[in-house]
Amino acid sequence: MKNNKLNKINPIPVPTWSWLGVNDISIEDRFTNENIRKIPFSYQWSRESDFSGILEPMNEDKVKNSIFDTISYEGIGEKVQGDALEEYNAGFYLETKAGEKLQDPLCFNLTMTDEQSQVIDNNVIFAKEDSEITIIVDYQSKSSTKAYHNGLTRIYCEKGSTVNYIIIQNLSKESTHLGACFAKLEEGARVNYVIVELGAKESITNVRTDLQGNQSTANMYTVYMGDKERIIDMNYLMNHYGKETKSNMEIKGVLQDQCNKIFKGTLDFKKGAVKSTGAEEEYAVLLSDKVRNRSVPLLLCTEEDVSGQHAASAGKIDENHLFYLMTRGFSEAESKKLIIEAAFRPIIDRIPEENIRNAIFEEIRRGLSDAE
Amino acid sequence: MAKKKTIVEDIDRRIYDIKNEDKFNYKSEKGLTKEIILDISRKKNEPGWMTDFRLKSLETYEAMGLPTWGPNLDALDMNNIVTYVKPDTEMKGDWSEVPDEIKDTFDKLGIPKAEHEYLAGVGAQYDSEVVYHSIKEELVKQGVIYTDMETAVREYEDIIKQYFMKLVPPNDHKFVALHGAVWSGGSFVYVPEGVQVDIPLQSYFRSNSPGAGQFEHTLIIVEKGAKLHFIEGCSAPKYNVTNLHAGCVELYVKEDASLRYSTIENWSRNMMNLNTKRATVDKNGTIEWISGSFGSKVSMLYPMSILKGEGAKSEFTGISFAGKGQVLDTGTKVVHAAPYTSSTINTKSISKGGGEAIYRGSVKVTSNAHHSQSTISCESLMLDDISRSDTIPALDIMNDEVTIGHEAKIGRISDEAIFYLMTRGISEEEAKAMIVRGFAEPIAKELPLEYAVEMNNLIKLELEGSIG
Amino acid sequence: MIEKGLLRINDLHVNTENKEILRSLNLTVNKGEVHVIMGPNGAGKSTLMNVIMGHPNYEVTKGSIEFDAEDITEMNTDERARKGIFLSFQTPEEVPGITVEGMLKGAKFAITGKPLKFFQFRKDMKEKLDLLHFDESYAQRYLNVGFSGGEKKKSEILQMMMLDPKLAILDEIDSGLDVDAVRNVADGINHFLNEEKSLLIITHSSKLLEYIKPDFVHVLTDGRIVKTGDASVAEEIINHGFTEYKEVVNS
Repeated sequence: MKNNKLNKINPIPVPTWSWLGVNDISIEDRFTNENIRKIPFSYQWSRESDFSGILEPMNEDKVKNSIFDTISYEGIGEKVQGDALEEYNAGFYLETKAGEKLQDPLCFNLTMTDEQSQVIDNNVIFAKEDSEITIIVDYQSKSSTKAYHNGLTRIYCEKGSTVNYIIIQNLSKESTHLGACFAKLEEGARVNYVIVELGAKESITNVRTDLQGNQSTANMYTVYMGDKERIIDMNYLMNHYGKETKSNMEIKGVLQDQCNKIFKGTLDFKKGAVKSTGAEEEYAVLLSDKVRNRSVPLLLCTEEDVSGQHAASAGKIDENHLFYLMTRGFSEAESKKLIIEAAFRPIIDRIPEENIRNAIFEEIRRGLSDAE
Repeated sequence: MAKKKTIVEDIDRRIYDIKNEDKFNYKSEKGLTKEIILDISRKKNEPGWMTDFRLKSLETYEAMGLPTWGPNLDALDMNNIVTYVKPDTEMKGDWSEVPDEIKDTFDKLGIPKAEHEYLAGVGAQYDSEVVYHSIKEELVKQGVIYTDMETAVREYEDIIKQYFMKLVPPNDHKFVALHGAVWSGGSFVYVPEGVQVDIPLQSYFRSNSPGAGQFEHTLIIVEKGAKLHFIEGCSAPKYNVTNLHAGCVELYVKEDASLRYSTIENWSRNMMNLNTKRATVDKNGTIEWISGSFGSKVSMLYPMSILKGEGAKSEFTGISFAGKGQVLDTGTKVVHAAPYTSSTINTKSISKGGGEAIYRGSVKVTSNAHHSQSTISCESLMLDDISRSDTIPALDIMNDEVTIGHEAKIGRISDEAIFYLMTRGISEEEAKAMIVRGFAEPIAKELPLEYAVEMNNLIKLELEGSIG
Repeated sequence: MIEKGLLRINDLHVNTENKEILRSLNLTVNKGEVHVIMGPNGAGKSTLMNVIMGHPNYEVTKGSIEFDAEDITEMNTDERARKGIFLSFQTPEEVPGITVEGMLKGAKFAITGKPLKFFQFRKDMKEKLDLLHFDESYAQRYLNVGFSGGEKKKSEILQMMMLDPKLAILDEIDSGLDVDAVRNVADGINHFLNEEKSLLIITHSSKLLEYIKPDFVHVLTDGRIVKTGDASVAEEIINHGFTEYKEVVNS
């Protein structure tokens, strides 16, 4: 069995002091292409749906010579990206019908088991003009399974279209999660991401959005829960090219035990992106003195007529909130859970599936149960 | 109707651009060799340990690579830099003994006048050596030492040996190693326990020789309960060849002591300013950095505060103004290495005419530094769309009992604010100038008065056009 | 002498973002008169105030504005201010780094074109601050930065009094103020008013009108003045709303 390293993956757009260890990250490459098998294609619409676009298993040949060929996206790193494009054993190709707006989400569930511990999914979403679609991809694994997941999603939004893309990652504590996502937006298009990160031993994610068309919008809502010795490396990039484009990132998380988290969030205003605005806000609740919490919120700008801002804060749970709840009879542990749930709720409530929301809250409560 | 833009003028550099003839007593060969270093050391008549230190630093320099981040340093060719230029004079304690031409330069920069009016001591360096040093008698009586580094190495050898390049070791980065090998000039300040130096000391560094490097070393020790305000000024005339400044500043702030270190850097636009500054702060001590970066072609400057004693504090206030052809990559680093430490970072940058202003910073909280606090605020103002402004901060927190907040904003002059001021009868140009000055004001007010005036003069406007 | 009117707005049409906001608006304000403009949200009240002051986002497509017998339709904002028009903003801008006093000195100098007599200026300002029950320290604070809603409004009135215009336009100067603050603001306005000064007030409520008696009340709906009357019009609107005037427009 080979034991390679993925060296210097997931780099930030502009490097800084290397001793900070935030420029990139190196991890073991746990992918073995020995017992990789095709995973049966399955999905479900949460309610009866009259979808009339195309939905089929991924076939990279079909994507070739399409609009997706014009996209140059490096993902997490060359090797990881190459694996996703060549070795995928799952994934979908979705093309909406112009003008068709669907409210009900399309759900994919990928559960990794000992028999099927490696999943590489390669997904494409092509939103045609003025269409709207919501997709939920739920990555789970058996708690005993040492899973490997590498995912790549490419999204192209034509004029006026909207894609709501929801990713839930709840792999076992021994697993590897590599998630890359790219979206390119035409005029007036919109992408809304909701990302929930609950598991894996190492979770390395990269999300890049090119706001190419004028008045395009991207929103990113992420919650994460980091515990044990997990490594969470998030690298989000908003590229503002078009005029009057808007981006917004809201990242909330809780860290406990010896979790090591790095959040890298970049707003890049390219020349010509006049009257664009970008905002980024990160908030980390720290529950142990062994955690490591790193944040690198970059603001890059070559256009004068823009407005960009970012804010990051970190600290313990507000003592006053805690005290208030305890005067109402809640134990300290229970109070903490309530406060964290309350902080996460506005983001999790963006997931339009009640049973998924409930499962997430349950998982968060379970994850926090060890916390004092 | 095509709207014309109001232009913010470049900094008026006339005073700084006065060139004197390149007269010198001794000038080293270009480039960097063991022989050159031995030569410098010999000329300085140094103790053997310093010579060894220089040679070891040279080895370190040769072994190290250039930084893998930050501005492009291609313009710098070490083989073309003259590392040591000894001016044609010895150090004087009286301006009248300083050669006329050199004295004239400092006169025009207002140094003797400032000394007379509001300083407790002055050091003036011309190229590689300090040409003038003075300190008020009453401070001497209290045991305050303020002298050039060469004198300090000879007369206070034990102290220098204990502190010199201990805080910033030569292996920190390539240009510090270079500094360790070829350092020359700079100031040494020692403030004994409990002594409050209420009037500032100022060292001024002037680089006159084309294609030369300036590598002054500033070492300040503020003992327990003592207090000092130190001002550092720098400038150089513009040449077509690249000059290099790789100074090093080491500040030791002891228990309950406080030090304010103000810098106004106005190097010419052929200067590569790769400077290293660091302070270590003991229990309940305070370091305050005031940093104005206006000149140079490329600057890489990130004063660092190591808060190693409980309750230690640091405040960093910085402004940079990047004009045409300038890349000012500046910021600060803070390490919270003890409980109950606090830091405040407040920076503003203005970029115009194709200039690049970059804020780069880091705040690190080590695992034992519980109850630490840090507040960071960075604001950038873009005056046109050919310039660049980046904010590259990093937070690294290893303790949960902390309160850390970071904020950054980027934008331009608000049209609504211009309109508001115009409804009060103020012309558009003046309204814009007012807003830019207002943007810089919180920093300007921390500067010594004559520098504050100078900074306001920087922000002049050409009269043209309407809003938009 | 024939009263020509200090401010004359003739058949004014105004666009912003390619939408017509004011259509054929006529209004004359004479020296010494107090005019009140009322109207529902979106009627064009703030547009009118901004266009009188020459805000660059508003385009006059037809008609003219005259002030003091001079056509100012194309004039720059600061020139209008120097001619003697003052606009009090509904939400005044916060301008960090410039003190209230510093801005006023700059403005006063721009308006009078004469060097300031600092001692006199300070004295005047102190007097006005006292009258407004405004702590002296506010003069040294950055322009409106961190001011409460009420303080911002007082700051506007202070500026008006110091700059001493011929015509003051007050855009919802009384909104969001408590009873005491309304009285302070009204005191300031009344102190400023005399037979040489004119006022154009936009308001939603009767609070300010308890202290300042209008000579004329105009109802502005859908970009036009649909009714002009005396103080009783204001009373009626405060009691019954604008329903009646919407019908006027639609009929």
